[in-house]
Amino acid sequence: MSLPVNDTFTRADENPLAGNYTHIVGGSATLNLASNGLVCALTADSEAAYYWNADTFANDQWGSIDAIVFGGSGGSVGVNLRADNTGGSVRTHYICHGGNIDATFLKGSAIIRRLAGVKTTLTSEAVTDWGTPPFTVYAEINGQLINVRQGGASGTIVSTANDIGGIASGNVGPYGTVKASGADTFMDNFNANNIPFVVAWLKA
Amino acid sequence: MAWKLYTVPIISVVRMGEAGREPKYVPDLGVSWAMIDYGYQPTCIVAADVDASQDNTIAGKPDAIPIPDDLSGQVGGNPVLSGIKSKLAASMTPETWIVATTTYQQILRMINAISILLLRYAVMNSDATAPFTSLTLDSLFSAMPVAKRTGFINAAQNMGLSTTAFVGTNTLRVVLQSVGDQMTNVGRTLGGTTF
Repeated sequence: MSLPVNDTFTRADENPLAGNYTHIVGGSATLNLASNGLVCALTADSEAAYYWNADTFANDQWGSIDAIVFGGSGGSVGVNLRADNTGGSVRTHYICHGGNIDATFLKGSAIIRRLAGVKTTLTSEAVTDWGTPPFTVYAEINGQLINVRQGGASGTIVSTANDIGGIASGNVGPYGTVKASGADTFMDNFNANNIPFVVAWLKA
Repeated sequence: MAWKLYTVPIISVVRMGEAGREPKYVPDLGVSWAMIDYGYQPTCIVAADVDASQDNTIAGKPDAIPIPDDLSGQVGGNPVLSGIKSKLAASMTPETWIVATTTYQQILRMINAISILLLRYAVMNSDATAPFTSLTLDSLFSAMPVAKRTGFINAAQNMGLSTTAFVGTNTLRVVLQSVGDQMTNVGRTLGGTTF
């Protein structure tokens, strides 16, 4: 395989998601590929996190995914950046998601650092109205500057974190959560790539 | 609503069935916020978009330090000076260098510098535990396990810092302050405020 990733999930069902995706283990739940999309169908409040394993990403990278259905109040959709399974059962990655856990349905966004399985929320904003799905959640990391954008690469930045000293490398992948009492979260169209050097330099 | 800065403890809160670290007091207000954590030591600088009532709520907490909007403002005399020093010391931030003429920007930059070191250590060693459990600023560097001391030295060198103060006979206060003293010109932006 070679970057960029443009996965429409138009293929046979996988339960759970496999192939070019690695499950970020150690507590995260699984995603299923069903009806040509990604389904986060959990029986308890939880998250599901994966990364693309068919390519090695540069440290400056981006990813995006389309939210088709939010999993009720508490659902969220996003991407993992610099994701790694080093240590086997130890999760290390940045989570960048739209929809704010435990906050208003379809509002807000957050950037979370998970190091060695420990989750630290760096930014949580409660303002962004994502509107009625479908919509795109886009996230990028350039150096240690992380942005979540609404709508795509040129979309409005809704969350920012400058995690100086933080996670240095890893891969990009899809992320979703669902409330046990809510509908399944449904995602589609995962895209990811390195940030071209010139763009990274201009944005730095 | 306006963005305000504070230092507050970090607490562990269960959300979506899982415990996670977040600033004390602020998330419960339902406002937008961003934080710089002090590595995995449970304290942070947090910026929050709050109204006057919410600002008063956070500022009035005994373990919070409210940062004035004018970062060039001086701390002034007691009881503010002594209060800030005791709260910083309790969170493992060197405080003896702070005097009445010290500005809030200088304090934030000290915290920021050490935060970067502590996070760099945590990432390089995949160690998401509080580094100074059972220690105080008066503890000797040698009181830390050898592996952790080596990790701190490696992290500091990775940042391009001098580690001449990282010796066993120095207190943690001296070691940590040496980091801040080498990074007094390193600022950062949080919640739209640059310090």
